[in-house]
Amino acid sequence: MNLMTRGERVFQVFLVLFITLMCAAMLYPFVHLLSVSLSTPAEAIRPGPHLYPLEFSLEAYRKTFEYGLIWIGYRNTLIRAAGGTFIALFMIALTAYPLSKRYLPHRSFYTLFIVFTMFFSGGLIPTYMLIKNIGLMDSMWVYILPVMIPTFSLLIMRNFFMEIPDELEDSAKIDGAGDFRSFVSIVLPLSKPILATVGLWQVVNHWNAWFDAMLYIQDPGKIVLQMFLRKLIVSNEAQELNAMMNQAPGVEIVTPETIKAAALMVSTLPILVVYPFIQKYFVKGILVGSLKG
Amino acid sequence: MKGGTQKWLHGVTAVLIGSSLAACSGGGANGSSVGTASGTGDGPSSGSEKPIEISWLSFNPPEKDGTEVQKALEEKFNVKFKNIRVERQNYNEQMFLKISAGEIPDVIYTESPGQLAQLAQQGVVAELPEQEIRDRMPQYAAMIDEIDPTLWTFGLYDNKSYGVPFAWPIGNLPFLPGYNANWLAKIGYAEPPKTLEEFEDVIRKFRNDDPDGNGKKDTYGISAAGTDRRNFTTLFGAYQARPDWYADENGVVSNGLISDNSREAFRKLQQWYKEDLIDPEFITKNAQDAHNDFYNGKVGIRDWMSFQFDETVGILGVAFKASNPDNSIVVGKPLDGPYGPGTAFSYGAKQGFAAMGVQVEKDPAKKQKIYEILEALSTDESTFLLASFGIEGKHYDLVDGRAVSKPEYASEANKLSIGAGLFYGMYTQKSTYMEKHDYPESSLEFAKQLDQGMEGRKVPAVLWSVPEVTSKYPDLGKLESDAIIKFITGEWNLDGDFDAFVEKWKQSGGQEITDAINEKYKGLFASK
Amino acid sequence: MSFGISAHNPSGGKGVIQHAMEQVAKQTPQGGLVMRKPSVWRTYRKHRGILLMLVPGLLFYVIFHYAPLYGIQLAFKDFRIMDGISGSPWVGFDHFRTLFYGSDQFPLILRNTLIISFLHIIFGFPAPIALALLFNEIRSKLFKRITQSISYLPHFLSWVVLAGLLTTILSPSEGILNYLLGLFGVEPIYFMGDPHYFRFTLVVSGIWKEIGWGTIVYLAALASVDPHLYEAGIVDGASRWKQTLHITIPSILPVIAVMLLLRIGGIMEAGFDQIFNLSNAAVSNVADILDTYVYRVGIGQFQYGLTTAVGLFKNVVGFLMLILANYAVKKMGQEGIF
Repeated sequence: MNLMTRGERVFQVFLVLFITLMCAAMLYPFVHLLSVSLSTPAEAIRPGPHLYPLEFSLEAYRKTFEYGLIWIGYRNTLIRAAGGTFIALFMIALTAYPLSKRYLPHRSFYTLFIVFTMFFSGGLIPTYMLIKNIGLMDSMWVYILPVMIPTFSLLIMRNFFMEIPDELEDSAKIDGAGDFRSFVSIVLPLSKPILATVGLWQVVNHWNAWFDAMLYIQDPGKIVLQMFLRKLIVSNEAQELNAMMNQAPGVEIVTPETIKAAALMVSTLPILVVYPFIQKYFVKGILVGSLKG
Repeated sequence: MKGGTQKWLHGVTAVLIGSSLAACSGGGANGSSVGTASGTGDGPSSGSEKPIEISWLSFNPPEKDGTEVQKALEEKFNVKFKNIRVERQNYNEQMFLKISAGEIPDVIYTESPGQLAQLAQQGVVAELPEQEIRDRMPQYAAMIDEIDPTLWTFGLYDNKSYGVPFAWPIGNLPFLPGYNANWLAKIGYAEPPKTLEEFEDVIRKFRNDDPDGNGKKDTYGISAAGTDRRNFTTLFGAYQARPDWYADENGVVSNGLISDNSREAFRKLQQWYKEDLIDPEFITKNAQDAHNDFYNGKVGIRDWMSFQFDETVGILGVAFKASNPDNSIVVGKPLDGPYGPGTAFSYGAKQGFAAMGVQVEKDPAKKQKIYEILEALSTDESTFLLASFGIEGKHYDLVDGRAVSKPEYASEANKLSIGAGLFYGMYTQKSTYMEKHDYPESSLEFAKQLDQGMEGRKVPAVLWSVPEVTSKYPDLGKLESDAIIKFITGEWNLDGDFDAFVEKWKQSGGQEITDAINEKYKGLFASK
Repeated sequence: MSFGISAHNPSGGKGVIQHAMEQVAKQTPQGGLVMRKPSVWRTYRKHRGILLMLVPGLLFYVIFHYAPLYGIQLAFKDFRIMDGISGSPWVGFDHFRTLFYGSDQFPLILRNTLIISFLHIIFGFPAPIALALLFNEIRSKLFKRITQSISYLPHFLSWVVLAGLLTTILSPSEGILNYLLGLFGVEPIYFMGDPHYFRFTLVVSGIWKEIGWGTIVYLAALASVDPHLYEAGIVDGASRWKQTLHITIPSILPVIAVMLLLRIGGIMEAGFDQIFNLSNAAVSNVADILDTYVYRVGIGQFQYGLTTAVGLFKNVVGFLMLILANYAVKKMGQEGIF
């Protein structure tokens, strides 16, 4: 395996070069924002590329952390990301498993029943009323329960389950294990890559979510981080729209670029460290070991 | 609700704007006397009564319930506030969602006559007849009369009043050109240009004569922000045009975009564009980008709401000074053009409304209480200061009779933690009685200068709302934006193509909307 | 050189895993069930284990997705707040008429929506697959880990934030991209303001933002490929390229199929956030899509009815497309969604 042909070596060189260039392009916005967040306001609006701050200042971070809400936001976001992801993973896997079985009676019907909801929804008002009626208003559960099963993730997970050869489970079933036992002891351990993937999706979705908080939460003690961020990452655009649409011009208030950037950094960096932990589950040959066993 | 995906508002360092005009002169003196009168007049409501609960929807809700300011206000008026929190960015959508779900707040801050009209059309707000407001809020009504009496009527829906109008006195200040002082000196102008010819000479030299002395031809005289109707106001003013809705002296409303004056202004713009005197990338810029180009010495002129040039509290003035400590902004006047003295845009003093939920109609005591609170917030000094600044000695000090926030409560962000700021203090910068607390003395002085010689030369925005007609013509705005770009870049000429555009505009709803506005408002916008 | 694995096999494209799976499928007792046609009750009893596992999920869908479904009637109603959803008066197809005939721009808008969406599918859909395969070829583990982590960074920035940055990066006068192009003698291009380039800008910036994030599901699929297959390939002397073509791609084909199907279901989604934030008056004729149109119509207005109607229109089209595509995929021998 270690021997590479000449062609392969050339290919590796080009590959590394290409990937490096690509990553430079993808890293740029972060470098830019980080640099702006560490600059003085006057420096921040200087035209041209920002690779590092010419006039260094931590003022923006100081101001960002002045908001008492940021810590509450962190706490609640952590709670929803952890709890929400755990519950979602369980529910997705639990539902995906039966749907992956060809012998599930009326399988197509159930699948369609679920896929249908990706396309047709009652809209904002009925959903709001529902949340109100089942008592989720102003409750942390509103972050978790309504998004317990994202259909997209469900379908992807089902697809992965379908690729696990049935014979692996058959042996367990012969030993008298029920469906649930075989699901927990055979299927889940074999599905680490997709569990990691779907888990990552959930964590990130929960981390970035704000809409539910905006609609359903009045209690400031239950605010999430992104709500706080949205207060800062704002442009004058609506202001302009107002003027264009002949509505009241109102008062112009501008958040300095440095604070926008700092708030963005503060709310994004923590979630970025999650990925490397997920990566280790993308190990090749996870199926093989068990096939042999 | 993608609609609100993004936008504005909400300062961290709540710098801002201010001052007034007409009322400006007597404002300071009035303030205190009126304040005390109103304060004692309404008196402390008999303390033993059960507090009335009022649900309150406004901008910038406090971080938590039961803040010091909330408690103090509750005690003062013997009420209980239920704070309704709605994000500033999706205010309209969220407000309607809550209302649709049956949660109608008692007090509703509405941003515009259009929004109020929708609420009224849906029957969710109480009627607040003008006479009733005058009776219950006499001091405030007097102020409205002084600032602009049409504030009473421009928001009517079906000829009925549904809200207590807010005024924004400073909105009456003109849009004026601000020049980069050093550049102006460099090209040999001791004072800002007074005529269109001089102005053209200035932008040509700003483009060609290397005003920043860096040896590169990388500067422009003038830029803009996409199709923002506040673009190139100095030029349009020189042609006595406003390429947007405006009213003539008889109050007849029309859209200046299709006027012959605008045609000639566009002709000049097209000539400048072809001569490369206008930053060609204005198409993808927004207002903030255009401001930034001005601070950064890429563009030498910014024409904007003139108060913003103030170096103490104006957003342009403060930022320009921060980037250019050794430079300053010279504020010019409208230019004399082919038709004589130029005009200037202004936002006008019109603003939103304080409305009340329809349920308040059935509860006269509550209605009276809300009027009482609104009157006190706008005209009683101690109430105003409490709501906007917090508690004296703890959150702010009075220095020479002016409120000065303690540093740790200076920003709007920190005001949120004590419940001060815009939420209860809806009349921050909206009451001429209180403006000495809103703006420093120097800024008020600056505002007066800006308005000098502007009598009769300002063209304020016309705020109208005829939703039943506009909803039929969703493409009109796009047609306008399209035309603006094409007239400037020269893709359309200003003879046949302009005529064709005017025709198309009229057919695409422009005419019908114009007629509907004039039918509805019937000369209401006539200048005093 | 031998083509070992399956080059000469007419069904080679399906790959080894599929074959194995089909074998397994044939062995399941399905056939027997069909023959005996047992009563539904008996079948349900027999499979009560997995059916029971399905119940919580179905309950979730009933409560959170089906219960609010009555709101769809708003598409045919003039919503009056005080009357509520069920009490509001019916207006038939009025909202759809507003959508289809309210503007003489509708054909243009529909065309733009479809064109932009197609471009995103044609170029944006395969991009993460290609990148995942490239990542898979990198030998250095550390380099791979780092670059993977970097590649998904732009996903975390919203279009609001990126819009300002892109305007700068793509500026004809001071943008870095035009500077680089200038080194090759290319005249500056106004990527954001020139209608000829704007859709290109949309597609490329879309790929740039989402490509890295999009690789994750394919990387998970790649992790599930049986290494024995590669060992067999190497024994047969297949080059890396051949291995990719005949082992790797077929192995991840089922995931690709599902992802593609779901993407096709979203055919009417051309990316509101991106277009709303990047477009301007100069490019509106090539960038105006259904969603921006609805936004424009509904701005400052109270338009639940119209919004619901447009959503319904988009989703009926998307759903039909999904059913069609699902049928096509199954015809081609892949596992569909249902």
